[in-house]
Amino acid sequence: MCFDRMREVSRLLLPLGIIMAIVLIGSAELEADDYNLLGFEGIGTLGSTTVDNGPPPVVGDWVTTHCRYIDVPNTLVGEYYLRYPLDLPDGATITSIRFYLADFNNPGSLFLYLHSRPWNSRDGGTLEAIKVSPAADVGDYQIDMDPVDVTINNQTTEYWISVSPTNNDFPGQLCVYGIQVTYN
Amino acid sequence: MNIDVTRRRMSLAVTTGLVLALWLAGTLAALAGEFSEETKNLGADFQYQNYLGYEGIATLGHWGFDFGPTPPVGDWVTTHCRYIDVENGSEGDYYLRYPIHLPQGAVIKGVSLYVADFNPAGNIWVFLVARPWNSRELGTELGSTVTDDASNNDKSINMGALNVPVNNQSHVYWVDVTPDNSALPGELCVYGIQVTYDCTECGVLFGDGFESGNVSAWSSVMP
Repeated sequence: MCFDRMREVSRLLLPLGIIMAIVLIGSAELEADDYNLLGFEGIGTLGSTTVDNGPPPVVGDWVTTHCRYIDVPNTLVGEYYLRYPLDLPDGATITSIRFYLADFNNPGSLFLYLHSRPWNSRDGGTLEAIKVSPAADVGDYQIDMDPVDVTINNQTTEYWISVSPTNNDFPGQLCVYGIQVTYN
Repeated sequence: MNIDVTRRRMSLAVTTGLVLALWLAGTLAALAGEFSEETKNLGADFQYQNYLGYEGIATLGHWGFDFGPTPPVGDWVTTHCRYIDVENGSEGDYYLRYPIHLPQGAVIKGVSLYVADFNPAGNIWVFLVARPWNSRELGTELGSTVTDDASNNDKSINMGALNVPVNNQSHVYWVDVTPDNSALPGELCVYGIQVTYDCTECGVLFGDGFESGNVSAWSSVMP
């Protein structure tokens, strides 16, 4: 009786071992890495809702906290952007993006986008993911773009993150401390 | 007695089985990791790094200036194309500079640009430049290309076959874009740049006479 039970247990252990092996292999394959961007890396650019072309907007920085913002009051979403170029390895898959922001503006928000386009094109860009910070004054705030499922192909495509404020008289109330991109 | 022996044997078998399963799992996981790394390297000997036009840093050129404030830039909004926003600039007066950050040991094989050249007479000149990082040298030109006047439109331009080993310990690298324009500077702009590089030898050390036959740069010479 006992012998039979043991034999049964040992029979069960083999598939368990195989499953464990598969799980461990899977976890090795799916090991995640992170790519950090300083808020300062944001390049101030014009958005498409106002003009065709022209000089980029002024950006401002909070000094001790290293937080960057578009320094133009009373903007609407799409008028100005901070652009963060992404430089990730070929074959990487972006799974999530975390933003650490300051949003002391009520009712302003930061609109957050992941964009891509063929590198050798004049496309406006394909929207891969979007997130918006709350309209309320929420102070320092982490917002997660999750899940994301974008596989990097640098031979054909370029990638960047866009941040666009809709603010009021105090543009410095909406700023970016940093961005963390997680990829497999 | 027999039952005890059987139980002991079974216990030993189960323990051994578990240990073996764990060892097998660990080994396979490690092999899978190594294999995927190797596959990545084998499958992507040629890798690519892209730069948005927006990443160009506007600077003065030595043909026109000794020093001074940086020139203004402009951007085409929907197409993401950056230009030096100064009229009637000649080649070498103003630059958009794109710093190149590649892994140690990479070999630059090509530099391609996607640009707009709607200026009938004007051109965009492009240079790949390097200098010792701890120097005040102007820089050494490693490759170049220029748009043509054949048509006014969007164009791909390439530096052709390059073979520039990257040694970040000793050198810095960048791409210079300088317009030769007219009264309409926005007619010459940069959408993006793509650097093609071979990463077969990335991360292998120089200077020890072991990994390469040359101690300061990559060569095909065997140690």
